[in-house]
Amino acid sequence: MNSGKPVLIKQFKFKFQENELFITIKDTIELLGYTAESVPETIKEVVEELFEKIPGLIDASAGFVSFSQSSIVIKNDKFIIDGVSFECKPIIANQLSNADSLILFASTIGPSAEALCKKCFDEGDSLKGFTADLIFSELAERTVDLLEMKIDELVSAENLHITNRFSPGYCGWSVTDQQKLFSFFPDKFLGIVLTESSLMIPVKSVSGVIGIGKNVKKESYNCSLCELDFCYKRKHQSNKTE
Amino acid sequence: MQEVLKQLAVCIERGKTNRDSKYPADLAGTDGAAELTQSALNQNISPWDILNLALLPAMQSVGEKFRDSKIFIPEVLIASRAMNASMEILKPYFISGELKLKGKIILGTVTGDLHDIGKNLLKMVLEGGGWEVIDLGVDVKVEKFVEAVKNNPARFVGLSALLTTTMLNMKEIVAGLKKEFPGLLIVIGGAPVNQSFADEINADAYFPDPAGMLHYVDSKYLNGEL
Repeated sequence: MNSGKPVLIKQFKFKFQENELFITIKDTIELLGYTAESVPETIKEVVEELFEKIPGLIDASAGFVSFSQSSIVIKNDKFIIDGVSFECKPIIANQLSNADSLILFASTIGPSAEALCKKCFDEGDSLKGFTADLIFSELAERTVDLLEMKIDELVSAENLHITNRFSPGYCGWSVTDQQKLFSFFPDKFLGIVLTESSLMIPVKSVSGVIGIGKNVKKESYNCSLCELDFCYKRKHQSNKTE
Repeated sequence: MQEVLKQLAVCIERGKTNRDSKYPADLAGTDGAAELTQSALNQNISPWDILNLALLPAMQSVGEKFRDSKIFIPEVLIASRAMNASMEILKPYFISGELKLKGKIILGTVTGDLHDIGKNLLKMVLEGGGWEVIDLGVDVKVEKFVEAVKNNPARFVGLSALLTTTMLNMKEIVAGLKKEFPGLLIVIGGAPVNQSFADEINADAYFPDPAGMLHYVDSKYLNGEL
């Protein structure tokens, strides 16, 4: 832990049962580019096979540390927690600016996901490896969605609101700040370790910050807020509208 | 063209790996790419003809269909699997030198980035297109790229990145490679990058999909620019 000051740490385990993956076979088929009618049988079979296997491979967990108003400072291009400065850039700082407290969070679906993908590619079954990776990426997002819902429930009870979640590596926030972020968690929090280049292992993990307060709100993602010409979200939006 | 080569091309394009493959359903129980490649050799069709009249044109067609959104990544992977089954039968001819691949391409996900799915897909498509791919893996530093080009003289290097932060590392890698190997052609790809970014960092090309890069390297090959 970075600070000796008392902070609230909450940790959750999420179980994804079969048929409760929050992503369906139909969703997966659509993510692959097909409809239920157009999907080739062999691809459908791979998806169905993975849906039988995957629930047993997911070890989804998430947690967060919260910091009260006295521990945080939010400036126009950074936020500071207990004297540790996060250079998150103005896009994020602006969204956090009215927050009364901050939460640093992490979530993961565990190590088995990438082990399965690697095994598939090593064995030459790239179709299964690719499809599994796609499903695991969705489940990693669903896991952090569930955490966000938990946080929202907790703060709503106190008539507070949450901002969007923001992660190092996006919106101009350097991924190297992940080292600082994890310094506020217990060692190997949720089993996550950082590489020298500050990426998380297991890869299917998410970390970041959420602001909490009376005068904050979640915004729908808006590329016009951001100056990053090359961001994949901007490209994705532009492809959608073409 | 001999009938067996026509059938072989159909099997590659539609992803019929071998006789046991259930897919595509209308070809169930018939010979696949592996058996037809062997059959063509048994009919004294040269390995060169098998490669250049059946396998590569079929994969080219797959790449074009993908580019035109007529098929999606899973079908490209299925076709690549069938292609690999044929290449396995032809392997002795590559080892003996009777058949040659088009050249070497070095690929890697750049420093700081651990994402490899896109790079793995590109590798399969390039190999399916008759190129030898030296895959350096993920989190590859400029020094490793330079060393790889020294050890495996190549005309092309492909750089991949998934994050807006790690894509910035492409600039240093392009500069480092260009300094050591001025004639090297460097192609970039990955979700956050585009042509403007490629221009900005002095990369030679950007492609949003594997078929684009295959077309680019094939054009250079056909124009004798290797």
